Amino acid sequence: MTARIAKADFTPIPPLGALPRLLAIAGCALLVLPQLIVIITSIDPDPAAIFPPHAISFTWYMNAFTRPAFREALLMSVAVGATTALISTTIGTMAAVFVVRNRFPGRGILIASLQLPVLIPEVMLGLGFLLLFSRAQMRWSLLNIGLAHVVITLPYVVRVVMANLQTVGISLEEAARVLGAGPVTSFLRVTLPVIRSGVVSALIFSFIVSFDNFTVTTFLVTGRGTLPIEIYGYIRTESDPTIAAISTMLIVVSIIGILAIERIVGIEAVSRTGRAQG
Amino acid sequence: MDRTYPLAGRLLLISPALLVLGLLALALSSLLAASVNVPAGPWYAHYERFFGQDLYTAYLYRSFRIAGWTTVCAATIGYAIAYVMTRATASTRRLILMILVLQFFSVSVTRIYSIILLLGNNGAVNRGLIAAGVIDSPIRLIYNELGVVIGLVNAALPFAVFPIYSVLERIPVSYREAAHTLGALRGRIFWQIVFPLSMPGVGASVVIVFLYSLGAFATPLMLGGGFVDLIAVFSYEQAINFSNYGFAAAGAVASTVLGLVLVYAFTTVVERSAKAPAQPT
Repeated sequence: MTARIAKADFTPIPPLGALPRLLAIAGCALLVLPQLIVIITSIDPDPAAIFPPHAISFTWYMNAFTRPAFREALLMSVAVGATTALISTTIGTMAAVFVVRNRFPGRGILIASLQLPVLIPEVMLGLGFLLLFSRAQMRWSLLNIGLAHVVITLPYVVRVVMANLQTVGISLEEAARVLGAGPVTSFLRVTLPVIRSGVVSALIFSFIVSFDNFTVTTFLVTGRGTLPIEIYGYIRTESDPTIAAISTMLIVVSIIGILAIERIVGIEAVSRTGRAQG
Repeated sequence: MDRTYPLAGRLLLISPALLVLGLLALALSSLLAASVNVPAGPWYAHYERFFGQDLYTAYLYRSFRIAGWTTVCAATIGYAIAYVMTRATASTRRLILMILVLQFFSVSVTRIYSIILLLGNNGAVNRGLIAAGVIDSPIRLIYNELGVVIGLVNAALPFAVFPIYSVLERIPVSYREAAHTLGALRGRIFWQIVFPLSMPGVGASVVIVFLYSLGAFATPLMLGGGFVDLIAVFSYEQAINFSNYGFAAAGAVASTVLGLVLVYAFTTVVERSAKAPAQPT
């Protein structure tokens, strides 16, 4: 008995078993290996993308940059993503301030409804928007895609900003009002600055969700598409590793984005705002 | 009630979001309306056709089967990752978090392409196995149901991990210490103390992964090679290739409703078992 207690003093709980370790390593490998392979393939001059590479070249990067289709698609994706992020973050921040700062009947239902777009399968959204826009005779595909992206990015903005608002409390705004600031002034000069980190990460999040979107966009696109649409089209018809070069550049941009978010709000915050696409 | 802003100002805050929700409602009602809008025949004709022919119900069975396998694999591996994260050193935990978050931030189409580079017939795994003399000809890892499940697990792992991790993180280590001091072995500590307490997290992650994989589009499209078309691919092809909008809408609505019913049944069972008194042993 004494021996057991003495042993328990040294190892409070048993060490991690082999099975969870193996499963976790396998899971992480499933996430990391494809990314590594894509980076290696992108610098291999052989168009058959044979692994491991025998030489290093930037042929595929050059190809990615010189093809006008990719340039235009990237421009379109960035334009749609930035516009969507600005509109969605503005609307979502206002809504988050409203639901966090007010108590009213139906508040729970409103909060749940604001999360609705992420719960509905994207194919339903894509087909629904396609039917709606064609019935309304809306033929400008850029506008249609932008409107749909605002709908699908709004839940992320609301969630991020709500979480941020709940941590800061209302006393600062009340103090500003007592000291004579008008509602607009107190919102712009007190509320907004205190939730700045939430608003910035909402901007980044909504940009990424829009930039990445394939399913909804594919229903609405006519003619030239966004970058994911053009990448998919290229994979279907060509087999050279130009897409590997593009993927590598996107991975680098993602890492920069993650480091930026980590500095602004901390990486744990990202895990609480999980998203799913594809 | 907040008195810092006048009522009109407050309503101004929420009205743009209500407009966005209105747009969503219009899109969904267009979808529902299309699914029951039959030129000649009863309103349920599209649904009748969908459920009446094996050709179409096959999409449904395949989708549910693949979503089921994906959920089992992603929840098991996700649980292991979450468990290791709670037990690992701070730097290992941060590394795993980085890997998971990078997955969030990756573009889905390029992520799926990278799986093709890894597991395709000419991919790194097959080339490695052939070079090592393990196999003579490439084994088919993608362009079948296995490939779609691998792709979906790859996409779904981060959101399988996070709900479980947030629950595991909050289980006091003293519970395990107490069980250990009283002589319980590792397996018993896990299955009788840690696992039951983590059930809410497992339930959440199962629901998220299942609904996600049931509606997946890009992954089966690119990793199924035309052999593993799930319900979303069915809807896309019916709508875009054949202009059968009503039929496409009916398939999407039917599968989503069935999926939600299944999820509701699952959560009810999990909640009931969580409320039931612990079995004495």
